Amino acid sequence: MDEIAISARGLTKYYGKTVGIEDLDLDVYAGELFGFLGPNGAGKTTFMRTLMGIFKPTRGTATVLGNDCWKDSVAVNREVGYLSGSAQLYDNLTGEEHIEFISRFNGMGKDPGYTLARRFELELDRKVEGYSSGMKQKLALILVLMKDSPLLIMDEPTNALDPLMQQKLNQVLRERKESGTTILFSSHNLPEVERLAARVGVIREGHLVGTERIEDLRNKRLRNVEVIFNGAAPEALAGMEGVSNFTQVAGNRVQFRYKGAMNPLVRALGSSDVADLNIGHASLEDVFLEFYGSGEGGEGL
Amino acid sequence: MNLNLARKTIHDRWRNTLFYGIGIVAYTLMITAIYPSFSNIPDIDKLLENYPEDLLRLFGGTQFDLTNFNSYINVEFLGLMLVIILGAYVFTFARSVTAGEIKEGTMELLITQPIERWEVVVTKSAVMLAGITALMVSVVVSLIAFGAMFDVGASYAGLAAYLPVAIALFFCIAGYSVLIAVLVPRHGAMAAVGLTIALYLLNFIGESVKSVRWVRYASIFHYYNPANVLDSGSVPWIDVAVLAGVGIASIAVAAYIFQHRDINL
Repeated sequence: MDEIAISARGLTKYYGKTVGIEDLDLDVYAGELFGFLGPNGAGKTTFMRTLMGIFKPTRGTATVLGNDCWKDSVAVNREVGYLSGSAQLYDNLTGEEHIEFISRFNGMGKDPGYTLARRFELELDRKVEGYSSGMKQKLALILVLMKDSPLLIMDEPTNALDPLMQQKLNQVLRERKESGTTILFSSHNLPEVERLAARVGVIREGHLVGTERIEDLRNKRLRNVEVIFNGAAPEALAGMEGVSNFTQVAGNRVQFRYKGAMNPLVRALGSSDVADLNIGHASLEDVFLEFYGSGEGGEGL
Repeated sequence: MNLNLARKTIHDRWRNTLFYGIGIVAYTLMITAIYPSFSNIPDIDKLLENYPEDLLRLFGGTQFDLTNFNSYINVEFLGLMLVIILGAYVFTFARSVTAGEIKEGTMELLITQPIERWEVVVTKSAVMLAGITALMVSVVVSLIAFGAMFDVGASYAGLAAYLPVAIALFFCIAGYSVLIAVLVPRHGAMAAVGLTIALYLLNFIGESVKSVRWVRYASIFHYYNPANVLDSGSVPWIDVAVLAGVGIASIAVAAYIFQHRDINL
């Protein structure tokens, strides 16, 4: 059985009466690159902050590399590289002073930080108050990655990065995974998760609604279909098994999502006068929404 | 005590401390330099005798004898003005210990390093105590130096004895300011200012109204009496112990609370 890097059991955090996360069970295996997906306010940050011992769990437990997330939080902080989604840096320090400050805490030299700064093309001799948001994010990433931790927990790591830097970060994360680092990262952007992670968990309104391997998601055979008929669209199509999100865009043009084997759909369309047909694989985001539901009033993923 | 955080805190605060030091030494120079001409104004003592006793007490003393530098410096500087100046230093420093970092969003970076949360409170408070000590030493040394320069008859023994009392007072204010900032991060600084004013007035009321004299014991300013210390030239160790004890206890409670409760990031 694979070694577990992060284990949460019934992990719950309330802010007064407001649910942050509730009864969350999750295992992240050593060496895994796990994507944590959910809309803003779903509980991703609360989960990560609870793992890092910033918040005390209301109930339930979580261990990080075998350390209790609350009682052994200093050990967790020593072993984990954590990137906050909203933490600020010290405006009055330069990038170099940040690297020195964090490296002293962790009993390490500054060279790994300098190496990463070159890779991310970040000037270190300027005070952070003069940095753009993208530069701040690069420095925050450097401070996390330079620790060379066996586990990285990163809350929306590509925030504020331009596409080129996102690619560089993805490359670094893949290299870390190759060298055995476990990575848990969050995002509200499924394509980003799809590019990086082997497994993904979806959180909504504080509850983990499911975990899936990316490959399994792709095999769910969900498709987006658009048909233009010569004449009126057949009424029976909307009630057909496997059809959802049926929309009549115009009298002779319909769009819908289709789940299941293709033959029944082809037969149904074959009995009508089809002028044009467009069938595409649904995005993973659509797959997730289909299988786990978007929830009332939700923002989507 | 974390040396890395101590270095960072010194880096953050040394300019602020230096500017306070320059300002406070300049004020000391001014107040000492004008003393000889001030004390030579004919009948000024008689003029002051006509002031209500409670008004003089509010500003630091009832024995206002301008032929005596100790009395003058107590009323004009050490009794109230110094409390206001160093109070401002302490309130802003105490706020930065926890609440300031939380508000500026840097606390998450700090507490996700391998450091106990209580160490954050204790380390920054220790640096604050060093800052208070440096400023108070500069006050006392400049009073001695300018006192000698203008030949005002300053009591060196009295000033030396005053130093630990003043450090203890401002450490005490620092202690409860840190505690209040931990308890109510968003309004901690103003709450600490309000409490300090309330304690000052409590001592004033206790000194002025005989029927409630006992209330002065509840005020930290009852244990801070520069005029007596300057005149006696001996350190009131019990007062120092009370003030330092309140400061230490406050920081210990603040460290305990900060270690054990959620931080509202």
